[in-house]
Amino acid sequence: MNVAYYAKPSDFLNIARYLLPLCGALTIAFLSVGLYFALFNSPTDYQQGETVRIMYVHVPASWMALGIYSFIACMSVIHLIWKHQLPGVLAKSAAPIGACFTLICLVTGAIWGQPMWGAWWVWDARLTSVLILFFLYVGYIVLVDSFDEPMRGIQSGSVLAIVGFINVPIIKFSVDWWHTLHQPASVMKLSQPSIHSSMLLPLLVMALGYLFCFILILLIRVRSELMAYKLRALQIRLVYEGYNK
Amino acid sequence: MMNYVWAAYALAFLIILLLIINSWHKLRRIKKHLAEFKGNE
Repeated sequence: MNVAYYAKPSDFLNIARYLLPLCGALTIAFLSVGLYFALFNSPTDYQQGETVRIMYVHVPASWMALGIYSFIACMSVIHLIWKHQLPGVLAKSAAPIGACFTLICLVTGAIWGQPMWGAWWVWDARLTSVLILFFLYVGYIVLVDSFDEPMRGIQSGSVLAIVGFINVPIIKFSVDWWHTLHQPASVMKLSQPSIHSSMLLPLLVMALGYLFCFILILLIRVRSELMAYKLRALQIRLVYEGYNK
Repeated sequence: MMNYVWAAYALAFLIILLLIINSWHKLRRIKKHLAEFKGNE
């Protein structure tokens, strides 16, 4: 099986047509089960009480924020090296989704911080580096859209995405490198997770719900981007033919 | 304390819902433009 076959936009669109309803169904299923477990069927924390339930929307959103940025950086490298159109379009379409997950992470973190730390915001290493990630997303979106020729915008954005990737390990290890208010990793670490399975299960179900939601929105956005390129190509051809008459 | 929890969930799902609506609306608009353009051609 040749993977490059699926990099052809028309073939990708055919596959996306079948994947869309499947991703929609999986998103609804996982988010419904996840919400039930998170809100009604998971234990409260002995110190934090009910507010620990914010973890089930906050933590998967932060995983998605980091994961989507890594995906964009990966696609940017492929786009710059092999000059394929599709990875560039995938990166461009994933950026607004990543920005929204980063915003969810920041907003729910602020709401969690108020009852726990007594402040909506602190200039902590983890919080500040995630805020920088949000600005990187916004910068990427603005840069990609600021060129008349779409592919030139994607090329410039790719360079920014690759340079900005340095922020991803900084976010991950910020809680180990600096003394911060934010707690250290309790799931994604080399040793066993230090979170009880009754809390880990809803967390993973919500994370899967977010993942399928990301794929769903990505497919919708890639379809509209590819159609916009097709429309642009038709318009250019019409102008060119009119000019040659 | 549950007020904070409801607020966090409401805001998170509002952002996701707005993103889905925005993406879907963009796709419909471009589909419409493309159909109109092909019709005029």
